[in-house]
Amino acid sequence: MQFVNSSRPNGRSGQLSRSEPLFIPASTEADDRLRDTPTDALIETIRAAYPTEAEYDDMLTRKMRRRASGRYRIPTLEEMSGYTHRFLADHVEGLFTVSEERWLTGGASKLQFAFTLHWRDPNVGQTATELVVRMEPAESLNATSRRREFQILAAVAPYVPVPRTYWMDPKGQWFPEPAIVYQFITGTTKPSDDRQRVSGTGTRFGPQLRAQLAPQFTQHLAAIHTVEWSGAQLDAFDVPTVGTTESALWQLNRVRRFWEEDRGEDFPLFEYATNWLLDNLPVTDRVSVLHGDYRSGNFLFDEPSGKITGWLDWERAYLGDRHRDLAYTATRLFGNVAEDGKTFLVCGLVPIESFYEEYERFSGLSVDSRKLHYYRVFNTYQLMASCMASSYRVVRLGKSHQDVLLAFIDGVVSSLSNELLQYLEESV
Amino acid sequence: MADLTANGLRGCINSLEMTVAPAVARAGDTLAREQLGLLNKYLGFVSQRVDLIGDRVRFELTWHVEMGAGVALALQRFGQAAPNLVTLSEQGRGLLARVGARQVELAPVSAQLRTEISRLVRALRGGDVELRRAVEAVVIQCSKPLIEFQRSWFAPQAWESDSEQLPSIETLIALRVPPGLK
Repeated sequence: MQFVNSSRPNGRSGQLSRSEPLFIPASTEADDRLRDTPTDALIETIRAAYPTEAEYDDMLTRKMRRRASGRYRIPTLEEMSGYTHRFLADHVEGLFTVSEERWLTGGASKLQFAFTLHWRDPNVGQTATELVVRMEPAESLNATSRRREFQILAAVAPYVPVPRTYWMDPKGQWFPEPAIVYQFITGTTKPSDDRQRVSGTGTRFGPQLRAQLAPQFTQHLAAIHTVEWSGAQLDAFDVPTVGTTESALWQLNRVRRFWEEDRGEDFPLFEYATNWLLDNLPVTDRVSVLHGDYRSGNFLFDEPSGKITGWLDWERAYLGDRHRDLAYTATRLFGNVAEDGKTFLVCGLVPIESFYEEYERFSGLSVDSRKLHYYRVFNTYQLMASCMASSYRVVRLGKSHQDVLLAFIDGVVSSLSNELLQYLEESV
Repeated sequence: MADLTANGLRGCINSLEMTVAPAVARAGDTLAREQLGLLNKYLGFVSQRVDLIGDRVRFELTWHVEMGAGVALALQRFGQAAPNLVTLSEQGRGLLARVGARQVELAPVSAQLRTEISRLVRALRGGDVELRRAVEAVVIQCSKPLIEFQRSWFAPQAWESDSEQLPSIETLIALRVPPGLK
């Protein structure tokens, strides 16, 4: 099998290679085997072609180096309990006991194990704390970093409701895979009477809950984007330079990289979109904290009071251009149409025009429609790459506890492709 | 004897729902219960589509051949040759015209056409702008029927809020595959 690489060595400037691009075909069983059992040379070739943030580089490289290690085995509840006890023994001072151990269901990519820790918390004294271990499977829809998730949760905690972080195991020293331990937050992701399609897609909140949740939803995003992050412990994040296209390029390269690493088929429209994205990289005017997956389904709320109790799933967070979050949140897949049959509601909560107006008012930051358009294309493109390429490879190799779900989400690619096509045609 | 795979899948779903699900519920294993629900949904979807997979493969090859031939023509207009693309497009046309061509023969040609076109689109960036635009226009045009078909194919999964308004997959199969090639 041949592949061509003529891009420059790994470096993270905003410059693009003008030479013949790397292209590793994906149409035969031999192409699949190449990606199933990647050689060091292949891994390094792909790394060099798509420079991105250092921590993402580490995560993606780790994924590829471990890929040929065989199928994933989900730990039993008893095994997970054992890992947790050993971890706590090394992290908790004094005596402790653990109760109510159980798996949490929901997400598409991480294993979550909940328990109650009876211990002497240095901050509050003897207490019972409900906690969650959030752990990688062998491979998942997103190769992300628990270290980043841990750091960003601590950085945003003074600004928006998030689970309190306690400890982390960034290299999988105590747990089978990297993990964090954080506070269990109560609440629900959807109204009890909602018969929605798939979790987080098109949630129907109803007028009363919308009125309660929508202002918080917009205000929290504004708060995240205006976090004073410069003094925070965020060494797992690279900081793009204001006034350059670095932020957009690093994100684009990350997607191009896992598309190359994971895909099982080629897709001409995707290549067209890549070219468009490379041609239209926007300049970042301000570096903000981004949630990365800001949508319904990723916040918990108390149904009787309509109060948001916590924002979850920070694994895609990064420091960069706020328009990426602003466009993502308004993705059609996550929203729906109001009772009037015509008003599009961002995440089923707020009419799109009001969303951007209110965001500007809350944050004091401007919303640039051209950048929004770029990131609409990018977000759709990224979702397609995850749902088409990574999910395929994970299922093919049996790498996660959610293989059936990942097989199922292949179905969303057609809808995303349709959205991408429309955005690209608008650009023309 | 007729192929009864779809009916067999419905039997599997019944078994999972009537026998396995209560046992899993009694065991209180939340992960297993979640997986079972997903498994039932996936099998339910497959049972609706398994008899049409051959039609999908044929439909997709039809449009990948169109795309391949269109891209080859665009290149030719700019004085460039794409022999692989021409060969694959001809091979695809031959298969579509051949009564009894098997699914396992059709699908690889579709896959190779996608690969050749993708390779070209990627390589054209940074080259002649007009040529690139001409090739990309073909990709856009021929992607539309493919995406429309796939949206209808996955409509039972209800990813789109108006999924029920999409044309039925049977309608698209009947419309798009030229008479005599079905």
